[in-house]
Amino acid sequence: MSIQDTQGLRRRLVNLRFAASGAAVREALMTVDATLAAAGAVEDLRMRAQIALAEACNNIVEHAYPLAPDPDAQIRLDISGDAGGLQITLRDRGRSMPEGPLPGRTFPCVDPENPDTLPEGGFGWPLLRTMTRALSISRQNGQNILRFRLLLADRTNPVDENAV
Amino acid sequence: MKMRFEACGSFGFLSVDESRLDASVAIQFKDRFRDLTQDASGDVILDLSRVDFLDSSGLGAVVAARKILGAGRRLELAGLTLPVAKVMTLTQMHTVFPIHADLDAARAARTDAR
Repeated sequence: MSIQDTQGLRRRLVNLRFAASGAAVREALMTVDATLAAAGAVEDLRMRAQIALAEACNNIVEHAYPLAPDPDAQIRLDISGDAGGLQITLRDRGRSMPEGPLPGRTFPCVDPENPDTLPEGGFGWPLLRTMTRALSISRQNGQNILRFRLLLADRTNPVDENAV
Repeated sequence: MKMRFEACGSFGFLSVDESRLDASVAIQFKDRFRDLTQDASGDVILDLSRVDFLDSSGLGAVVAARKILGAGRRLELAGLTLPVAKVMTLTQMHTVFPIHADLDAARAARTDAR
Protein backbone atom coordinates (compact mmCIF):
# COMPACT_ATOMS: atom_id res chain seq x y z
CA MET A 1 0.00 0.00 0.00
CA SER A 2 1.42 3.35 -0.96
CA ILE A 3 0.09 6.87 -1.07
CA GLN A 4 1.23 7.00 -4.71
CA ASP A 5 -0.84 3.93 -5.69
CA THR A 6 -4.00 5.95 -5.88
CA GLN A 7 -2.93 7.35 -9.29
CA GLY A 8 -4.58 10.68 -8.87
CA LEU A 9 -7.48 9.46 -6.79
CA ARG A 10 -7.63 10.97 -3.38
CA ARG A 11 -7.39 8.59 -0.45
CA ARG A 12 -8.33 9.53 3.06
CA LEU A 13 -5.48 8.75 5.44
CA VAL A 14 -6.19 10.60 8.67
CA ASN A 15 -9.32 11.91 10.34
CA LEU A 16 -8.61 12.93 13.93
CA ARG A 17 -10.25 15.12 16.54
CA PHE A 18 -8.22 16.04 19.59
CA ALA A 19 -8.00 18.59 22.41
CA ALA A 20 -6.16 21.85 21.71
CA SER A 21 -3.39 21.13 24.22
CA GLY A 22 0.31 20.45 23.90
CA ALA A 23 0.00 16.88 25.12
CA ALA A 24 -2.92 16.02 22.80
CA VAL A 25 -1.14 17.60 19.82
CA ARG A 26 1.94 15.48 20.54
CA GLU A 27 -0.14 12.32 20.66
CA ALA A 28 -1.99 13.21 17.44
CA LEU A 29 1.29 13.90 15.63
CA MET A 30 2.66 10.52 16.67
CA THR A 31 -0.51 8.85 15.36
CA VAL A 32 -0.12 10.74 12.06
CA ASP A 33 3.51 9.65 11.73
CA ALA A 34 2.63 5.99 12.30
CA THR A 35 -0.23 6.24 9.79
CA LEU A 36 1.93 7.88 7.12
CA ALA A 37 4.69 5.32 7.69
CA ALA A 38 2.17 2.48 7.27
CA ALA A 39 0.91 4.13 4.06
CA GLY A 40 4.44 4.05 2.65
CA ALA A 41 5.31 7.74 2.92
CA VAL A 42 9.04 8.41 2.60
CA GLU A 43 10.97 9.72 5.60
CA ASP A 44 11.46 13.23 4.20
CA LEU A 45 7.72 13.68 3.63
CA ARG A 46 6.95 12.38 7.13
CA MET A 47 9.51 14.78 8.60
CA ARG A 48 7.98 17.76 6.77
CA ALA A 49 4.51 16.64 7.89
CA GLN A 50 5.62 16.51 11.53
CA ILE A 51 7.21 19.97 11.44
CA ALA A 52 4.33 21.62 9.56
CA LEU A 53 1.62 20.00 11.69
CA ALA A 54 3.39 20.81 14.94
CA GLU A 55 3.66 24.48 14.04
CA ALA A 56 0.10 24.69 12.70
CA CYS A 57 -1.36 22.98 15.79
CA ASN A 58 0.79 25.01 18.20
CA ASN A 59 -0.53 28.18 16.57
CA ILE A 60 -4.10 27.00 17.16
CA VAL A 61 -3.38 26.07 20.79
CA GLU A 62 -1.68 29.40 21.52
CA HIS A 63 -3.68 31.88 19.46
CA ALA A 64 -7.10 30.44 18.60
CA TYR A 65 -7.66 29.13 22.12
CA PRO A 66 -5.64 31.49 24.35
CA LEU A 67 -7.86 30.90 27.39
CA ALA A 68 -6.58 27.40 28.04
CA PRO A 69 -7.46 25.05 29.59
CA ASP A 70 -10.76 25.01 27.72
CA PRO A 71 -12.42 21.57 27.63
CA ASP A 72 -14.31 22.51 24.45
CA ALA A 73 -11.17 23.59 22.61
CA GLN A 74 -10.72 21.02 19.86
CA ILE A 75 -8.78 20.58 16.65
CA ARG A 76 -9.95 18.49 13.72
CA LEU A 77 -7.30 17.17 11.36
CA ASP A 78 -7.92 15.59 7.97
CA ILE A 79 -5.17 14.29 5.71
CA SER A 80 -5.70 12.77 2.30
CA GLY A 81 -3.10 11.43 -0.07
CA ASP A 82 -2.98 11.74 -3.85
CA ALA A 83 -0.42 11.25 -6.59
CA GLY A 84 1.32 14.53 -5.78
CA GLY A 85 1.50 14.31 -2.01
CA LEU A 86 -0.67 15.14 0.96
CA GLN A 87 -3.58 17.56 1.33
CA ILE A 88 -3.98 18.70 4.92
CA THR A 89 -6.94 20.47 6.54
CA LEU A 90 -7.05 21.71 10.13
CA ARG A 91 -10.24 23.08 11.64
CA ASP A 92 -10.90 24.80 14.96
CA ARG A 93 -13.65 26.90 16.52
CA GLY A 94 -11.38 29.36 18.31
CA ARG A 95 -10.53 33.00 17.60
CA SER A 96 -9.91 33.94 14.00
CA MET A 97 -6.55 35.06 12.66
CA PRO A 98 -6.05 38.85 12.53
CA GLU A 99 -6.97 40.45 9.18
CA GLY A 100 -4.18 41.04 6.70
CA PRO A 101 -1.53 39.08 4.88
CA LEU A 102 -0.34 35.78 6.33
CA PRO A 103 2.98 35.79 8.17
CA GLY A 104 5.80 35.11 5.71
CA ARG A 105 8.72 32.76 5.27
CA THR A 106 11.40 35.02 6.72
CA PHE A 107 13.06 33.61 9.81
CA PRO A 108 13.97 35.90 12.73
CA CYS A 109 17.46 37.35 12.50
CA VAL A 110 20.08 35.27 14.31
CA ASP A 111 23.38 36.87 15.31
CA PRO A 112 25.87 34.25 16.59
CA GLU A 113 28.05 37.02 18.05
CA ASN A 114 25.32 38.18 20.43
CA PRO A 115 23.79 35.15 22.17
CA ASP A 116 21.86 37.36 24.59
CA THR A 117 19.82 38.80 21.71
CA LEU A 118 18.96 35.43 20.14
CA PRO A 119 15.24 35.10 19.39
CA GLU A 120 13.34 32.41 21.33
CA GLY A 121 10.21 32.66 19.19
CA GLY A 122 8.98 33.73 15.78
CA PHE A 123 10.11 30.52 14.07
CA GLY A 124 6.72 28.81 13.86
CA TRP A 125 5.16 30.53 10.85
CA PRO A 126 8.35 30.61 8.75
CA LEU A 127 8.82 26.86 9.41
CA LEU A 128 5.20 26.18 8.46
CA ARG A 129 5.45 28.28 5.28
CA THR A 130 8.78 26.73 4.29
CA MET A 131 7.51 23.16 4.65
CA THR A 132 4.23 23.64 2.81
CA ARG A 133 2.69 24.72 -0.51
CA ALA A 134 -0.67 26.34 -1.32
CA LEU A 135 -1.36 27.38 2.25
CA SER A 136 -4.65 29.16 2.87
CA ILE A 137 -6.75 30.23 5.82
CA SER A 138 -10.47 30.86 5.78
CA ARG A 139 -13.26 31.35 8.27
CA GLN A 140 -16.62 29.66 7.69
CA ASN A 141 -19.53 29.37 10.13
CA GLY A 142 -17.40 30.21 13.14
CA GLN A 143 -14.71 27.77 12.07
CA ASN A 144 -11.08 28.49 11.17
CA ILE A 145 -9.96 26.34 8.26
CA LEU A 146 -6.25 26.03 7.51
CA ARG A 147 -5.33 24.15 4.35
CA PHE A 148 -1.97 23.29 2.86
CA ARG A 149 -0.17 20.75 0.72
CA LEU A 150 2.96 18.72 1.30
CA LEU A 151 4.55 17.56 -1.93
CA LEU A 152 5.91 14.02 -2.24
CA ALA A 153 9.24 15.38 -3.43
CA ASP A 154 9.82 19.02 -2.63
CA ARG A 155 13.00 20.21 -4.32
CA THR A 156 12.50 23.80 -3.34
CA ASN A 157 13.18 22.78 0.22
CA PRO A 158 16.39 20.77 0.25
CA VAL A 159 18.10 19.66 3.41
CA ASP A 160 21.75 20.61 3.28
CA GLU A 161 23.16 17.91 5.52
CA ASN A 162 26.63 19.40 5.21
CA ALA A 163 25.49 22.55 6.92
CA VAL A 164 25.54 20.95 10.35
CA MET B 1 11.06 15.23 31.54
CA LYS B 2 14.00 12.87 31.70
CA MET B 3 17.33 14.71 31.67
CA ARG B 4 20.66 13.72 33.19
CA PHE B 5 23.70 15.87 33.94
CA GLU B 6 27.17 14.46 34.29
CA ALA B 7 30.06 16.72 35.32
CA CYS B 8 33.22 15.90 33.44
CA GLY B 9 36.03 18.10 34.75
CA SER B 10 35.85 21.56 33.22
CA PHE B 11 32.53 20.90 31.45
CA GLY B 12 29.41 18.76 31.68
CA PHE B 13 27.24 16.48 29.57
CA LEU B 14 23.49 16.95 29.69
CA SER B 15 21.48 14.14 28.07
CA VAL B 16 17.85 14.53 27.06
CA ASP B 17 16.11 11.18 27.41
CA GLU B 18 12.94 12.13 25.52
CA SER B 19 11.94 11.38 21.93
CA ARG B 20 10.29 14.76 21.38
CA LEU B 21 11.36 18.22 22.48
CA ASP B 22 8.15 20.10 21.72
CA ALA B 23 5.66 22.66 23.03
CA SER B 24 4.33 20.25 25.66
CA VAL B 25 7.72 19.95 27.42
CA ALA B 26 9.51 23.21 26.50
CA ILE B 27 8.94 24.88 29.87
CA GLN B 28 9.91 21.74 31.79
CA PHE B 29 13.06 21.51 29.71
CA LYS B 30 14.08 25.06 30.63
CA ASP B 31 13.39 24.50 34.34
CA ARG B 32 15.26 21.21 34.44
CA PHE B 33 18.16 22.68 32.50
CA ARG B 34 18.46 25.51 35.03
CA ASP B 35 18.27 23.12 38.01
CA LEU B 36 20.82 20.72 36.60
CA THR B 37 23.42 23.27 35.48
CA GLN B 38 23.26 26.03 38.09
CA ASP B 39 25.55 24.33 40.65
CA ALA B 40 28.08 23.29 38.02
CA SER B 41 30.52 25.46 36.14
CA GLY B 42 31.96 25.38 32.65
CA ASP B 43 30.49 24.64 29.25
CA VAL B 44 27.57 22.26 28.72
CA ILE B 45 27.33 19.72 25.92
CA LEU B 46 23.69 18.91 25.24
CA ASP B 47 23.22 15.35 23.95
CA LEU B 48 20.17 15.32 21.66
CA SER B 49 20.78 11.89 20.11
CA ARG B 50 17.53 10.48 21.54
CA VAL B 51 15.44 13.44 20.38
CA ASP B 52 13.89 12.66 17.01
CA PHE B 53 11.61 15.70 16.84
CA LEU B 54 12.11 19.38 17.68
CA ASP B 55 9.48 22.06 17.05
CA SER B 56 9.82 25.85 17.31
CA SER B 57 8.94 25.78 21.02
CA GLY B 58 11.64 23.18 21.67
CA LEU B 59 14.06 25.29 19.67
CA GLY B 60 13.12 28.34 21.74
CA ALA B 61 13.83 26.31 24.88
CA VAL B 62 17.31 25.38 23.63
CA VAL B 63 17.99 29.08 22.92
CA ALA B 64 16.71 29.94 26.42
CA ALA B 65 19.10 27.31 27.83
CA ARG B 66 21.98 29.06 26.08
CA LYS B 67 20.99 32.31 27.82
CA ILE B 68 20.59 30.58 31.20
CA LEU B 69 24.27 29.61 31.09
CA GLY B 70 25.28 33.26 30.70
CA ALA B 71 28.17 34.86 28.86
CA GLY B 72 31.01 32.86 30.44
CA ARG B 73 29.70 29.38 29.59
CA ARG B 74 29.08 27.86 26.21
CA LEU B 75 26.28 25.52 25.11
CA GLU B 76 27.31 22.92 22.53
CA LEU B 77 25.06 20.37 20.83
CA ALA B 78 25.80 16.74 20.07
CA GLY B 79 24.09 13.87 18.27
CA LEU B 80 21.53 15.74 16.19
CA THR B 81 19.08 13.44 14.43
CA LEU B 82 18.03 14.43 10.89
CA PRO B 83 14.74 16.17 11.87
CA VAL B 84 16.51 18.17 14.60
CA ALA B 85 19.36 19.10 12.24
CA LYS B 86 16.81 20.23 9.66
CA VAL B 87 15.14 22.69 12.05
CA MET B 88 18.54 23.94 13.28
CA THR B 89 19.68 24.59 9.71
CA LEU B 90 16.49 26.25 8.47
CA THR B 91 16.48 28.66 11.41
CA GLN B 92 20.24 29.37 11.14
CA MET B 93 20.72 28.17 14.71
CA HIS B 94 23.50 25.88 13.47
CA THR B 95 25.59 29.07 13.18
CA VAL B 96 25.09 29.78 16.89
CA PHE B 97 25.85 26.46 18.57
CA PRO B 98 29.00 24.39 18.10
CA ILE B 99 27.64 21.03 16.82
CA HIS B 100 29.30 17.64 17.26
CA ALA B 101 28.39 14.31 15.66
CA ASP B 102 28.19 12.61 19.06
CA LEU B 103 29.54 12.85 22.62
CA ASP B 104 32.85 11.22 21.68
CA ALA B 105 33.37 13.86 19.00
CA ALA B 106 32.47 16.59 21.49
CA ARG B 107 35.01 15.20 23.97
CA ALA B 108 37.67 14.83 21.28
CA ALA B 109 37.16 18.43 20.15
CA ARG B 110 37.98 19.59 23.69
CA THR B 111 41.09 17.41 23.96
CA ASP B 112 42.34 18.69 20.59
CA ALA B 113 41.75 22.28 21.60
CA ARG B 114 44.02 22.01 24.63
